[in-house]
Amino acid sequence: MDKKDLGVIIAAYILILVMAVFFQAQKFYFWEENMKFSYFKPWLSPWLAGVAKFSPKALGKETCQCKCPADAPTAVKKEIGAPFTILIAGDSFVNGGVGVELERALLGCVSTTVYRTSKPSTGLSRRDYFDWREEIKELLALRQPNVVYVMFGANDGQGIPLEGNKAVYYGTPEWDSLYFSRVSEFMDILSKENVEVFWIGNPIARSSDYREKMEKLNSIYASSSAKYENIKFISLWETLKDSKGNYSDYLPDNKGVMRLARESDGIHVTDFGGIITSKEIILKVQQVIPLACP
Amino acid sequence: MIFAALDFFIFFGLILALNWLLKKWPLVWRIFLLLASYVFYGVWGWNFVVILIGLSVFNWLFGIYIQRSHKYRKIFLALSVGGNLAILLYFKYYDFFRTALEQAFVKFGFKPSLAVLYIVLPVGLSFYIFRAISYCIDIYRKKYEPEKSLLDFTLYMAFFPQLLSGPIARADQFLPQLKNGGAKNISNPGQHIFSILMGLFKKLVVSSWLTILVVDNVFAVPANYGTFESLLAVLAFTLTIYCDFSGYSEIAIGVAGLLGFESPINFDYPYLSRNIQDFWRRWHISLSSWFRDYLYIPLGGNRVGMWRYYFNLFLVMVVSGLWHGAGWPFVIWGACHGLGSVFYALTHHNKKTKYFLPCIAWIFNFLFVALAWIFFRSPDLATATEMFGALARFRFAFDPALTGAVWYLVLGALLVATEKAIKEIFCDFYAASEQWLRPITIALLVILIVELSPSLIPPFIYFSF
Repeated sequence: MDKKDLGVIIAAYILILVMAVFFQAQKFYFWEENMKFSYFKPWLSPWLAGVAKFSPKALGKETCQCKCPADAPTAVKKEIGAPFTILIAGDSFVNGGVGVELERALLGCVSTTVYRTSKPSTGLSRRDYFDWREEIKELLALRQPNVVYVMFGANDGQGIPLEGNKAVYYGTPEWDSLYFSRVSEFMDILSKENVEVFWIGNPIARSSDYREKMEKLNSIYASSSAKYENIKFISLWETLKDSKGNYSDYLPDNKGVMRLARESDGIHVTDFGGIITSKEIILKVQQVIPLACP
Repeated sequence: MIFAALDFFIFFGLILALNWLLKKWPLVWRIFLLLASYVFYGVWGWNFVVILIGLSVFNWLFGIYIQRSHKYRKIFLALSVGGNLAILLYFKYYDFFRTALEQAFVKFGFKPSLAVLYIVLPVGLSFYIFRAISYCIDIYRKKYEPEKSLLDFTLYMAFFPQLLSGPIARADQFLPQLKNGGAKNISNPGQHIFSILMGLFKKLVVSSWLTILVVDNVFAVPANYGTFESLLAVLAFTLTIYCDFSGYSEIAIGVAGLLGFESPINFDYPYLSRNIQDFWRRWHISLSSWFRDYLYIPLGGNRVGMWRYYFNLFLVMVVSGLWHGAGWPFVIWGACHGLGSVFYALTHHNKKTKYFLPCIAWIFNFLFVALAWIFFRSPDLATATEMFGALARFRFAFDPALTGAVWYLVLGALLVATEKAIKEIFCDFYAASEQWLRPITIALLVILIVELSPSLIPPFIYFSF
């Protein structure tokens, strides 16, 4: 190969890495994080010091101060009735089967206007990546809903960055406490509005590790929402189990034909899986508000 | 591993340097490229690598059998093509046909009982199976001799820049480039670097933003959107699929080029075409030429009676639709293009149509292609119907949250319109610029593209095929 050509390419590589580290580190880190770069990370992150600065273990944004949800102000609740302006917000579950089929099902109900906003790869753990507190405030102001569905957690079973290059690691009591306070903080925002909130829990997952994480997060959502009058937790844990009570990729439709209900990752749901969950969600919602659906 | 990611950037840097370093030892160089390709593919799943190796050995052996046997060569060809298609049918279509059959059974009162198999489609399978089939048919046609080296053939099947989504290079295009240590220099480095940069921009900026801002949402539940919003989504997807797939192809061609390999081009400004047949001469060229050579021509092409010719045109497009995905919307999409091709074949000799202004022909063709994409993008026929309904609803409210998509649509359209000129400007600049200025320019452009991209990049659309 012509040495000049090789020199140009090597120099470009070095420059890109240098610029990435010094000027674009955060952007590159997010880019990398979303591209499943994890298999290189242990040895590469220290090498790319600038990028590593933004890794979950090192990034600092807040101190661990847990707020007890019992202290949170509760909104004076008014009766929620038609017309329903519904907002569905959350992570990749809302972007995929669960959110899409719920939107479709709610559109078929009487006097509904439905808005759906999803940000895949987000949650409540990594505010440095995406701050749902700001997003939900904007959405509440823009859409003026009286019914809100939220779903989080798929990406939350990870370390939470703190101030001073510290982090709270998943699996510790500190993490549970901090995450609980974050959920409560988010619920506080919703409880100040005159909206009926339905917090959708995560469905059973294929991997046992991930399943344990989701069970824990669901229990946090359930116990936290119990403190608020206008927030109800809806569990989907049992909804996507098979007849033996286990995780299954395939579930029967109403005619008994087995259809793919879960995505290949064993976490997300297909459109068919979404049809099953939306039916369950609407049934539970109808116990709380007078939503008339076919 | 995927192209538009930092892990690939680092992987490719190492491969590029070692590729040129190891060329002094051709055998080591080829083994190295093969292992690198398997690592690249193995990141998706090592079981996929086993399938790829199995198919490579299978087709290499059958290539030899087809050539050596005079009496049974037809049977060997049938076995090899049948074997490849059986693998493709199993991985890609089993669940589609099982569900369709079971639903049909239920309608007639039978209880469905076909085996439910959890099958994960190996990424790129449709592409490397087509490479293998073309090889066996070409050997049968005595177009070239079978490859004697198993190493070279497995590398042809697994070469990482072309592995996941093409271009579907033919064996006689690729294998000679492995002989005698391959290319000694990069021909036209500026052009290959431009290909990568343009591909990255198309994918990371235009395609990703349009997907996130409008396409995913509107195509998910079209009934929730009005005429303008649906029209915006259709136009956005028209641009998205082009930027996504041509972007991928350009990166693949550029990456292969920097390693010293020439690849067939895959796109030639398809949205500038004025009729549907011209569109298919410019869109996914390596696939459409595959269908021409291995399906359309064996069916008799246009050297048959008029009705058979129309049937051939239609059938090839329907099969092409089914190749893209196991679902009725893909079949309908293919059928639309088939009908479009037949319509063009019926009318293009008509004197009246010659008075059509070129721009009118372009507009009609573009709108036809854009509307047909609705079937391609929709997860099922009900959603596609919903989308057409939304377009015809005459509800003209416009969600302000979609405004950003309009700007990316304009940016993308400008890019498509000026792509050729931008390429010329870059290549002229690269050739004329000082040596020290080149890496700075490349680095600045990469950083700019990353900065303009969203933090979450949707997967390449063609990976699911």
